[in-house]
Formats: sequence, C-alpha cells, structure tokens
Amino acid sequence: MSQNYDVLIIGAGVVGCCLASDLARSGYSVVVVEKANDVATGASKANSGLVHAGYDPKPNTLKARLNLEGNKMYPSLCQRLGVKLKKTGAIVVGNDKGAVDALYERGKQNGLKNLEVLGRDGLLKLCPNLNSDITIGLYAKDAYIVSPYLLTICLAEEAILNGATFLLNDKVKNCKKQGKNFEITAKNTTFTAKYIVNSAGAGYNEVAKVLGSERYKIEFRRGEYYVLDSTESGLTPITVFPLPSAAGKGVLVTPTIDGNILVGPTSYQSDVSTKTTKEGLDDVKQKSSALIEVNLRKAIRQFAGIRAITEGDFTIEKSRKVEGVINLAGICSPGLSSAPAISKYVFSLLGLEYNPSISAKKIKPYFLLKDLNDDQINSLIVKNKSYGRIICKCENITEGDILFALNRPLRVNSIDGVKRRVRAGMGRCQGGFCKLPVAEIIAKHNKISLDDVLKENEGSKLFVSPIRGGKND
Amino acid sequence: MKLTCINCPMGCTITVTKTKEGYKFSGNNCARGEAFARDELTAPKRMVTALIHTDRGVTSVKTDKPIDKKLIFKLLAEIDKIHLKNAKMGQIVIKNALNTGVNVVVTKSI
Amino acid sequence: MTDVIVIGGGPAGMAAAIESAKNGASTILIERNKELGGILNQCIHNGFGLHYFNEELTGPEFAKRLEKEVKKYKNITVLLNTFVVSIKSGEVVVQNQEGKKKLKTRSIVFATGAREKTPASITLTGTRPEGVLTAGVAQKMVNVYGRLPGKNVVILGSGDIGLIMARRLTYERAKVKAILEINPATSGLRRNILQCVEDYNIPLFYKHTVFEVVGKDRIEGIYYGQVDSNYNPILSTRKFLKCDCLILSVGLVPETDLLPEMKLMRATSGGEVDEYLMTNIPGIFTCGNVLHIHDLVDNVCLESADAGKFASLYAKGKLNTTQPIKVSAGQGVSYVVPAVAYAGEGKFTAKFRLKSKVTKTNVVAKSNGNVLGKKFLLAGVPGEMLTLEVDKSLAKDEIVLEVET
Repeated sequence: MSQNYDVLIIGAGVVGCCLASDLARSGYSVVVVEKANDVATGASKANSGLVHAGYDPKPNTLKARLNLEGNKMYPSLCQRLGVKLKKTGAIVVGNDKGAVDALYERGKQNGLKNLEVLGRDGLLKLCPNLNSDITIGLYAKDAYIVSPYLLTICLAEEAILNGATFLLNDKVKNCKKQGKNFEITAKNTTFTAKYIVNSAGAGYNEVAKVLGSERYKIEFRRGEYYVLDSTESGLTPITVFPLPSAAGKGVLVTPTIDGNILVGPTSYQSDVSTKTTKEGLDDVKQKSSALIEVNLRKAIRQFAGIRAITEGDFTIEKSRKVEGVINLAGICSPGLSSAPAISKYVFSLLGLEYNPSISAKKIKPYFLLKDLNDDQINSLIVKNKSYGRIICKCENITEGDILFALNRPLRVNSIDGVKRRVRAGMGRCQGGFCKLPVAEIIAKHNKISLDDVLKENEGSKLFVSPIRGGKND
Repeated sequence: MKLTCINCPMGCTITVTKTKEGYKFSGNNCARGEAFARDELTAPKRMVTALIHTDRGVTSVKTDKPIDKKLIFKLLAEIDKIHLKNAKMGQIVIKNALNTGVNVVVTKSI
Repeated sequence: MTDVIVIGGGPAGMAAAIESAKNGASTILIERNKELGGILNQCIHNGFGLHYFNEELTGPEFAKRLEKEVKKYKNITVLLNTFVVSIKSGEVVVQNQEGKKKLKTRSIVFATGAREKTPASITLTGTRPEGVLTAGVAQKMVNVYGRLPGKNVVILGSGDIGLIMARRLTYERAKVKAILEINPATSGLRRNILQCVEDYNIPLFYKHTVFEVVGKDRIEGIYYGQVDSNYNPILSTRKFLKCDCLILSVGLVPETDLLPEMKLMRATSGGEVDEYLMTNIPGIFTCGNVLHIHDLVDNVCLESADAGKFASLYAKGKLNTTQPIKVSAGQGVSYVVPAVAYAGEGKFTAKFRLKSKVTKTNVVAKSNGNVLGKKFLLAGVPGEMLTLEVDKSLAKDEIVLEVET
C-alpha cells in the first residue's frame, strides 16, 4: 500500500528542511526526497554561513522582503533548535562615501533599523585589523553567523521527530497527476502527494523536467573559499564585506560560528562542479587583502560552493503548468537568511495554514563535551565512558560526541556527515588522524562493514579492496 | 660505476672500479657496503617486508635475510597464502622460503 | 607530584621516559593510543635501529624494543588511551575514560611528533573526492586495516613515506602510475629512491605537480604537468592521468598545537630550545619530530634520551641555565638546534641542515673567531640532518654554524 502525503519536498537544503519542519509541526504529512546521502550537501553546505541584515538586496524584491523577515525569525528559530547563532554584526567597507551612503539608503528603504555609516575610527573599533586604505563603511548590527549545515540538519531532524519522512539517495523518477493527487514513483517506492515543492537548488531544472513544471534560465556561479585555522580567530570579530558590485557581495572575511575564519567567495560563471581553481583562490587572496591582511598559509581547507541564480530575484511561484507544484528556483544569497521566511511564504502560496504547534516535539540540542565545564565533563565520562576517548585531536571531539550524532532521528553513514554534525575532521589535520577511527565507529554503530562506510555520497567508499591473500582469495 | 648502498639510511655512494685483481670499492663507510656492492653487481638482494592475514586482522612479517631481488614477487605470492589464527613476534611463518635459506618472520604480535 | 611527565608515547617519548627513569626520576608517560610506539607501528618496513640498537629492525620491532625497555623501569607509569588537553609549566591536564584531571609535575617533555601536510596546506585544487589522502593515512589503511586505498595510484611528493608507500602498494599489486615531485630533486633518502622506486621501474617526474583533481565521489584522475622555476604550472604541459587514488607525501609539520605558548623557530616550525632541549617555557623540554623533523628514528631516540635526562635534572634543580649564548645558522646552514647554549666547560651536539648540496667541504662552529667544532663533509644534502660536536668552553659570544667556502 502506498503512502499518502500532503506535501512532497524535493531537495533537502536549508529551505527544503525548514519547510519540512514547519509543515510537519503545523500538522501536515511531509515527505522529502533528496538525491544525496545526507541533507545540506549542496549550496546549504558551502556558503558563508551568514544571516544578512538585509541592506543589500534591491528594494521591493522578494530577496529584500524575505531577507529582512527571515533575519528577524532567526533568533527564535535557533533557540528552538539549540543551534548556535551569534550576532556579530557586519561592516561593508571601502573608500567611496557615495557608495556607502547609497547602501545606507537602500537599507533604509528595505526597512532596516540598526544601520550606521562609520568613519575609519569607528570601523577600527569594530575590526582593528582593517587595511589602511579603508576610510568609510556601513555598519549593520543585525547580522549573525550560524552553521548552515548544522541548522539544516537540525531542521531535518525536527521534521522527522514531528512525522516527516526523508528519502535520501533517492529521486523522483516519475510523477503523474491523478485527480487532485500526484502519483509519485521514487527509486524503490511509490506514494501520493497533494502538493509538490521543488527546492532542488542546482538541480531545479532537472526536477522540473520530471514534474512537467516551468524550467528557468539558471546561471551557476561558483564561489571559492579558504577556511583558516582557529589560531587565526583573532583576525576579525565581525563580518567584513567590500562594497558590493554587480557580481555580488564580493570577497568577504568573516568569523565562523565554530571559531575559524572564512575568506571568500569568488563569483565565477561555471557548471555545477564544486572544484577549486588556482585562479579562483588567487583571486580570493588578492581581493581579501584589500580588506584585511590574511595569512593564507594558515588555511586548513579550500572549498567551492555553487549558487544557482535566476535573473534579478528569487523565483518563488506557483507553477502555471502543473497545478499544485511550487517552484523555488534561484535561491542564491540571501537564501540562508531568507529560509524561514521562504518557508512561511510557500505556505501562503499553497494555501496552507502556517501554524507550527507549540507542543510540537523538540530535538535534543547538539552539544560537544569540550564545551561543558570540568564537573559536567567528569560526570558525563563517568556515565558514558565513550566520552573519555578523544577521536579528533584537532577539535577535541570524543567518541561519545560522535555516537551522539549517530543516534539522532536522521541516520548518518558518512565521514562527512559526522564531520558536519560534530566537527570531527574539521581541524587542521583535516581528518588525517581521525578519519579511520570515525569510520570504525560508524561501522560498529550502524552494524555495517568498514568497507561500506562512505566519505559522503554513494560511490565514495574509503577502500577499493582488502589486501591480497588470506581467506580473501 | 657508482652505487647507492641501501643497507642503512646513510645511503653511502660506493664507487666501484674494475681492476686486474677484481672489483675495488670506495666511498662506503663500513664493510656491509662492500658486501652490498658485490651482491648488487652479481645477484642483487633485498629485504622484504609484507603483511599476513590472521583471524584478528593483518600483521607484518619480514625476511630474516635479504632475498634475491628476482624472487620478490614469488615470495609475496607465498606470503599471500598464509592465514593464521594469531601471530607472535619472532614466529617463523615460512621456513627456507623458495629454497633460499631465508625465513619469513612475524614482526608484530597480534 | 611527579618529577617528569612525558607527553607522547612514540619513539621520542619512550626514549625520553627511559632516560628520565634511569636518572631516578619518577616519570609518567602519556600516550593517546591503545599502545605505545606511535607511527612506528604502521611502518612495517625495515631500516630502523642500526644506530640505536646496532641491529636492523622493522618499525613494530623497534617500537617493541623500546616498550620492553620502558617496562623495565618501575618508576615509569604509562597512561594509555589518554589525551592531553592542555599543558602549562608544572601541570598537565589529561582526559581519558576515568575523566578529566590535572597532573602536577616538576618538568615536562613534550614529544608529540609531527602531522602530515594536507591537500589544503599545499593548495591542491580541483574537486575533493574520496581517494585523495596523505601517505601516512594510506600506510595505516594498508598496514593496519589491511585494505587498499586504490589500485591505480599517483603519488605527489617524493618524501620518504611516499616512496615507502610506492613499494608497499606495488607489493600489494597496485599499480603506482607515477610519482610527481615539484622540486628538481627528491627530499627522500637516496636508498629509498633506489629500493622503492628504481627497483620497480616506477616513473618519477621531477619539477612536476598535480594541477587539478578530477572526480566527484571518488577520484577519477588528475591533470598534471611541469612547473617553472617559480613553481608555477606550465599549462602547455598539462596532461590527464587516470587514477583511483592520489597519495600526498609533501612533508611533515611539528605538532606543536597543544603548546601555543612555546616559541617556535621559523625554519623548522618546531620549538626553539636551549642546549638542554628546554623551550622558552621553564621546565618544558621538547624533542623528536615536534622539535624538528628528523630523517631517522635512531636520531630521534638519541636526541630524546638527552631531553629525558635534562628534564630529570631540572626536576632535581640540577640544571645550570646562566650566561646564555646565542647559537645561530650561518652561511650555507638553514637551521641549527639548539638556539641557545650556556657558557662554561663541556660540549653540546648541534643538529643542523644544509641550505643546498655541498661536496668536500668543512662545517665549522665559530665564536669570536675561535673554532669550537669542525667536520669534513664528503657530500651533504639538505635532505639529511647532520650533527656537529661543539666545544663551548671557548665561547663567549654568539656561536655560528657555517659551511666553509
């Protein structure tokens, strides 16, 4: 017998997961189909981790409205999930007073309150390491930093706790409208849904093709970043942007919620590959030096993310071709900032009641042993010896922390999945020390062979074969 | 002719000259160097280290003497066949391997 | 209160603990793994011990020898599965299955070894799929886990671990398709080039590097090619090479992170020490790969035994640290350990590396025109750590180590 759902969401990024949780907590039945092996593996993983204040988008656009609205929703959202959110503020700096004033005006027009134009002295109080060329800037107090992937994971877990179903490594292969319902064929299951939301990010058009809904002209832009060692965390306590250009917000320098420094992104037209390039990284190096002198030899990782862009604005609308389908395309920056507001907006497009129950089930917040005080640490180790065994030496992550991540509502079977949840492998040795022990813990906990542990997606097994000989031959 | 001695990490460069009385060696810092160079000119030999399987996982073995370089892969094929319950450091797992007089010995207990 | 706490149970830590105990000091040896031996346990190849044990041993055998020695001493307490969380003068905070606790001590030997440079530290570009790993991780996969990281392998960098892995993987019948070395010469030992690379006809390309990693979930290949004298890629030489594994052997970095207060030496990224191997933090000594990267474990042990001895003397208040004299690297020398000696009678051993290859020349230690030590080098390369006995009795001023012209 096939399942009947109210809503099918395709794509488990931050928007898809936020919507799934909001729907589930409002009493709707939800299924989320995600082609990857985990949630938050696309743009929601590889971005700057910023909740923008909202001065940047062009006034009277969806971006402007949803950014501001989303920004206001963040403190309660993160409090509900127990996800760390830090109000660092942001400065946009340069030496063009006209441009700064224009940005200030735009912010006012977008409805922002806590905005201020500062001279060099004022800026230096916020960020003492600013480059000597910088004379003026805009200070937006209501900007936050957050872990975009941990937020997405927590939203997915909350959705599951409240009844949502997640189909990972799956895709919608066929979709037929039968009366008011869609009949959907996934890899191994069939089910029905009253509504479908296409939040597939970079895969939007691919999904639209299967659904028969509108396809848009989507441009992909690759953003390359450097992540710096936590030893560099003193570089800036606040997010520092250059003055924006047509290509976007530009190369920024920001602290991350986990104590690293992020430098990037570039904005190159590209395909969907998240590769890094020498040109791109050199570009980050050169552009960031206009803001702050950054020691890139302290980089512990480089990565790239893909932004899918539709011209001018987010494209969030009801499909005119297929009734009951909602199109979410081009959710680039400020997509993370807007996510909770986008979710709410989709409710209105679907004609559903946005009414998350206050008695909805709450997830247990993530925590790491190292963040507790010594008494708490000792009592936890006494109760659970796995907390006494440090697995990731760079980030001081224990076996207990990893088992905590493996015992959550959403199953985890990859090294990167563990890394996004509890930071094992996020440090300066990049998993050199802990990768194999983490794989062992996953294998033992999930009762699978070590040979079947994945780095990330299917096809990313760690080993190609056992060594020759013995009983294997 | 110059050879790099592989007996120890010093890696002496040994110069070999052919004289009427036979080969002459210079540049080596010890007698092992000369022996190595002699072998290298006639029948090169290597120490071989490898893994064997046990019920408790893999562990390491070595040849107790260098073995003819040409026989390395033959020897590895012999080592491949081994599967023990457990292994003790120093335990001989192949005696007189390939009739060379060389034994294969466990180097880590498991 | 303990006399000496040794942090790290690899060869350096064990050698230090043994010497400390020999001197009658109560000693605690802390190791994070379930067994002593550190990285030696995964180095199943031979070539260890000729200088320290006068016998050629494999890594696990060398480790076992030291461990047996450690166990002889009743005044050494070994803490396994124990992590050090923080260190300061006189105090080490550890965490294990019994909880988190403070250990008080009179002196500390910091012997945490090194970690491998990662793809990020050399800005390896392209995608980030599975199958790209450091040589040490590859070695652990094969030698400890009994599993292959790939069957068609490219190795980037010709450091010793990479060369050893080339042979190891060849023995496991994987194909090592190429070793790429960005420099015009190898940093590995000559013997390893011969017995790991040339013996098996593995192609080794100098002045070559990886331009781009290709592959989504698992590596599918690399673009590689030549670099110019500034190490910039020459794009016209770019070629594709199919592989299912890329192993990086691009160097080690001293693992100093637990001790951020320690003053580092620029050239080594390890601690700056005096002739007793004491760091800038009183009572904290350091040795082995966390002090400077060694080529031979035998030398690590000799150095670490000294650190253990001096730490135990410090614990007893018997170390004289008056009248410091600077020791520095002069012409042709890239660094010298120690950075400080103390005026007075006696000798100390300076360890150093050359800036470039030399033949038939002297290395001398001088102070105010006086020659304090001299050594003739038939041939010397930067890849090999060298030593020089320095007689400090004549030193009044800065001691400089240099290559004679």
